[in-house]
Amino acid sequence: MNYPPHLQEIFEKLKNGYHISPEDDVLYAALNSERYEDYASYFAGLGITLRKHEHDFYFFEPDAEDKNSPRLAKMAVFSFILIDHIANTRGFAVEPTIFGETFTLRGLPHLTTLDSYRSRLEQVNVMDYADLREIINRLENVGWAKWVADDEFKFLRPFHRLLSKCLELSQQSGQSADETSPILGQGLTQARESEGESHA
Amino acid sequence: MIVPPKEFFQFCAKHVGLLRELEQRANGTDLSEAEIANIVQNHALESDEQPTFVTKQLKNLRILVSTDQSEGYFLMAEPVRAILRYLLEEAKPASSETVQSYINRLQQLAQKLQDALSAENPTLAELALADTTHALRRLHDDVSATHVSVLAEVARYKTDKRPVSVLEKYQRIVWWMQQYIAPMLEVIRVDGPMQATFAEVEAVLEAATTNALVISVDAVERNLRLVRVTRRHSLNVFEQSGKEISPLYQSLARSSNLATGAAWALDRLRLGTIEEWMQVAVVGVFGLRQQEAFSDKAIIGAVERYLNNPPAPPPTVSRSRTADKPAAMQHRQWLNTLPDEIATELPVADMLGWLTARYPKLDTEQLLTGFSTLFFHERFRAEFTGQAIRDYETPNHLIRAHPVRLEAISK
Repeated sequence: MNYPPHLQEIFEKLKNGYHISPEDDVLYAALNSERYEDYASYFAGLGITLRKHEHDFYFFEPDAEDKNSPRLAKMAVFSFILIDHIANTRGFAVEPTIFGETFTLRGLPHLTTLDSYRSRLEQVNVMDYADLREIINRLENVGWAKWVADDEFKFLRPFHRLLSKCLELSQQSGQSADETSPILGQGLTQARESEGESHA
Repeated sequence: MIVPPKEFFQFCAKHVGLLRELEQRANGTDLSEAEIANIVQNHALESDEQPTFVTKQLKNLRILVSTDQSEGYFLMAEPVRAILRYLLEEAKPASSETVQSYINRLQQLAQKLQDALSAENPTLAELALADTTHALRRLHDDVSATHVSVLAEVARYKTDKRPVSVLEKYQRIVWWMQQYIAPMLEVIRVDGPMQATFAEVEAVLEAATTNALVISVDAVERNLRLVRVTRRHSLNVFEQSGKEISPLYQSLARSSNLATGAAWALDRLRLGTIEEWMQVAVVGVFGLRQQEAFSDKAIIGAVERYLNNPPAPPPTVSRSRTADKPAAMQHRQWLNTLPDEIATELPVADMLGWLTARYPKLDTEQLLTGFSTLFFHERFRAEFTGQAIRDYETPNHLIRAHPVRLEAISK
């Protein structure tokens, strides 16, 4: 059989929960090629579904049991707190801030701002900066974030999986806003054409 | 009392900061005499004029006008506010109701103009035309003000660094959308009332251009151009305003949804159990689960063992008969006969001495096997005699040991 290139390296990465994004130059280029279907077919033969996210990264589709991990719970609480802080305390747009800034471990709001943040973290046994560092290490292990210096990290494109979860939960809460602008597609262009015709 | 324009503008030019603060503090409402004095006093530091003189000038030049006879409260004159808004691009947006009122007015004026033309009444026709011009200019200016306001609001959102929550920003932008932009689009859309009215006004004006005896054709043509400009301007302004504000709306709506989801997840964690919460809020990450599978290390070990121990042919068993007994068999037979042999000579005072003397050619290992067989045999009792250590010689060793006595167990 003519295997697609870097098959083993890609499998080794993805089987551990890693998400392959443009940061992973060679492996990403391999998956983002015309041979994507070859990879998907190969992994399907092993009973694994290769997924391409709308924000252009690749991962193995988890099943229901893949949620039952205390480490994933810690990652989720960590991320929800950060998003809440960015939007509700700082008042910044979430996505440009998440993907446009680098964060420092000591600058994180988790342990220093609200008691409620601390309480939620304690529920998942996150007590101090060492625990936060461990969470960021795990985020790096799955390709959602990356250390850029000893104390600095940035989020990578696959973090969109958590943002998608936020949008899903927003829907569940019944408080979600309609993201479609109410003033688009109001027939203005037609009006302008009509105005042009009448003027002519 | 007429305000001298030169003096008015010179005063305004000299006191821009003061006028701006008066406008911002009042924000369309009135100011008391004391408040005005206080603001003027604050700005007097940068001026060489006495505060009382400046306050007097504000009133004389009708920048501040009294709200009633008591002269205790003052409003900033609307033309001054308008010029400030215009110059500082702090225009107030026109509401859809305002625009709708202009449209209604234009519709009435078009009817009046048509009636005047039909009645060949030049006075009424001229008045109707003048009012039409005025209404069109007000509409044009208010639409421009709305555009300026939208641009300013969008810029403010983008540059505002105050810690205001995304949800609050989103609610404010929704307010803008709902109050100013969306209803206005309803008014000016292709099948909306503005298009219909403008078409009607245009038709009346075009008809009027053929009636030079009743109305000034020049004036009609100027109004015709103004109708077209205003219509084009309105469409352009609201299309541009929509384009400016829509991305901001979408961005804020998305951020608001992200924040709502995160906050909701955190609240659910507060209220429920971690196990339930994980099923709802955690993002699953693939993990390859293996059950009873060999690890790589085990597989590599097995392969290495195979490579290092290549299979060998099974041993060949000779099936030919031979007279020689195997050594192991001979030794076994000797051990079996040994108890009967020594039994005839019991008691033996020194068992190892008996063995070395009787079998001098047997090697040490065989002799000691015989010794232990007799020592533990069920028919005999063996015990140390307490005598001194002796030397026992075998073909290949010299054994030093205390003598052991062997005797039969009596039944």
